[in-house]
Amino acid sequence: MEHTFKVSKYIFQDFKKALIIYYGIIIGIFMLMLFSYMRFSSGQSGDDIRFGGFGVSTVIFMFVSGLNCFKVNFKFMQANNISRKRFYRGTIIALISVAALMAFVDVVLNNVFNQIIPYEGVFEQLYRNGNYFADFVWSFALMVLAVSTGMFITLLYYKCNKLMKVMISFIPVVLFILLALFNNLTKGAVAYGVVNFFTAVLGFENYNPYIAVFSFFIASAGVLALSYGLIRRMPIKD
Amino acid sequence: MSKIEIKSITKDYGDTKALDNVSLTIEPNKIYGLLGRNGAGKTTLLNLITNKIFPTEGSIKIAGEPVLENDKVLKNIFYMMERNLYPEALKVKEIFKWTKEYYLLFDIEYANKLSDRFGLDINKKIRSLSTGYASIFKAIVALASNADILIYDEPVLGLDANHRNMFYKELLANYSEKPKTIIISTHLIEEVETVLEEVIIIKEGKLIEKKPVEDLLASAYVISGEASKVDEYLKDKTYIEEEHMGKYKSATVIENIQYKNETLARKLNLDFAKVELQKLFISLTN
Amino acid sequence: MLLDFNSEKPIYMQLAEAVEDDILKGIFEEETQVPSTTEISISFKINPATAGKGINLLVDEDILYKKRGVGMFVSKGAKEKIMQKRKDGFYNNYVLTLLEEASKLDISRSEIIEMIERSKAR
Repeated sequence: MEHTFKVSKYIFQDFKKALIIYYGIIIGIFMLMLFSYMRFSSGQSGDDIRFGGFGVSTVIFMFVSGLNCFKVNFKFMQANNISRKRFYRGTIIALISVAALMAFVDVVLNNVFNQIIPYEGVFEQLYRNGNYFADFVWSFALMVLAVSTGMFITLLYYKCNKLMKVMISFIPVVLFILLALFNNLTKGAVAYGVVNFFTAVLGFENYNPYIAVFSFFIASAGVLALSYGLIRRMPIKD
Repeated sequence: MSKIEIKSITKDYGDTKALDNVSLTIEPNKIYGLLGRNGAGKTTLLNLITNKIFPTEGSIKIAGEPVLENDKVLKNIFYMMERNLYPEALKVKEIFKWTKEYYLLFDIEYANKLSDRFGLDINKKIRSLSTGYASIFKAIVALASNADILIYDEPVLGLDANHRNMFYKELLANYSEKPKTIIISTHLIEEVETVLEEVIIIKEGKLIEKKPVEDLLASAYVISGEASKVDEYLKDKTYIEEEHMGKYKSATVIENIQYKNETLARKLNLDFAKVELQKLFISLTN
Repeated sequence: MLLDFNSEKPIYMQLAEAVEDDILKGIFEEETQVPSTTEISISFKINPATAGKGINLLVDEDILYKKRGVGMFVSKGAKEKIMQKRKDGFYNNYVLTLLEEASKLDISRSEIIEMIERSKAR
């Protein structure tokens, strides 16, 4: 186990720089928000100014990190003769740790910003729920899904040869076109179904974030399982 | 201790057979040379031994345990690859530090000493190393790893003559001090000939020879002299690699050197000479 | 010590002879230490097993002996032993070769003896 943590240690230190830059930017943007608020508000409550939405950028950051976490790290671990099993486990541990860290920092920042300007995090906006713990768990689960998906996509690309890469890239496009087509044919039934599905799965109906948490974890588990399937016999390529 | 058993290994890439039913045992604590032409399958074999790729058929065991995805076995092997797998953005000294995490016996002090001796700047990033220094860097990591099994794939690529000399001497010093299994895969047969104890020769994916260097060299000899006289000597003998220069001819006789017919050679005014490993290799793999 | 990697003679044998030569020349005196197999291996870039084989040849003939924990030493009487060994081989290794070369050049026995006499005067 200790050896697996050594892998995690390396993957994690890879993140340090990116995290500092990311939060540096976030704080920078917050300063901008603060400045414009002070500049443009009249100071009376009832002002219709709202800021928000950093949660989205964090999710994107996690997704992109997932995309970048494989190739260079895999090669380095192969140079050190680490098995793919150990590399996978070590990476997952590191990624989940970063997800937890960022979820935590986001909740903290949200509430700090809240005190200063009328700021509303994504979670608040979606669920009308100010519970810190729920916010943390929901953000955490979403980050895990985002980073896992990023990793899965990069694994897929790494494994596939050129032809397959092109085919894979087309799949979401083709899917979307097909869905749109069916939507027209069924006079909107598909769109209706899709909206219903996401509403249910994300707990929007009852403003229940824990349903979303459950969905995120299920989806993550699926993606992570598929990722392991790809990694376990991944040959070293150029 | 760390015997490497390669059993019936086959590796296919689509329709191409990179390795075809290769079986051999690599005994511990010897210096082996892995020789073969470009594309013969040397690197494929090394990649299979070190879990970089997976066999189509067959198995590889080290100290009785399968190599496949086996960290316990893998941590005793250090593989200096021809290509660079190290992150380009890291500095040499950072990679020394991280290597110690995964190879517990890695000797950072020794690595620094070697870097000094070879003129490697440990503050340089991997991406800014020349071809020669990239090889030197990787060779130093291997030498300082203190692993039981050291595998070098083209270790002296791009190294000048002085550095090549230093490398072989360092390898021998390291090996003398602490015996280990060493496999060197290289094209520079002439240089490496005296350093090796045994050679393994791969031709078109098949194992064609595995012998102590001494035995291989004793299994043939060169006869030379006037062409017609040489032909007379060669009657009833197996020979390869004829060379003509006007009326002068030489041929490599495939027969143990102890059986050479000195009397006949004297009568025919012919000369014997030692067969060079590289020349023998060229004929065997043509 | 000189080794010829192009010679027909196996390296380990050459090594043994080279050490013997140096003993005869007095470079390695009796009861003094000779270079270790490690030193030899590194100096000449030869496999330590090969170096060891050459040294062991001399140990088997009692020309060298091993002092545990220190290294290889020249045995007492080694010089004598080597000289005797070489004397025994002199006829086959040098005399016959000389006669062979002489016959190639049509040099008669008496001419050879005359040459030997001539060299004495030098």
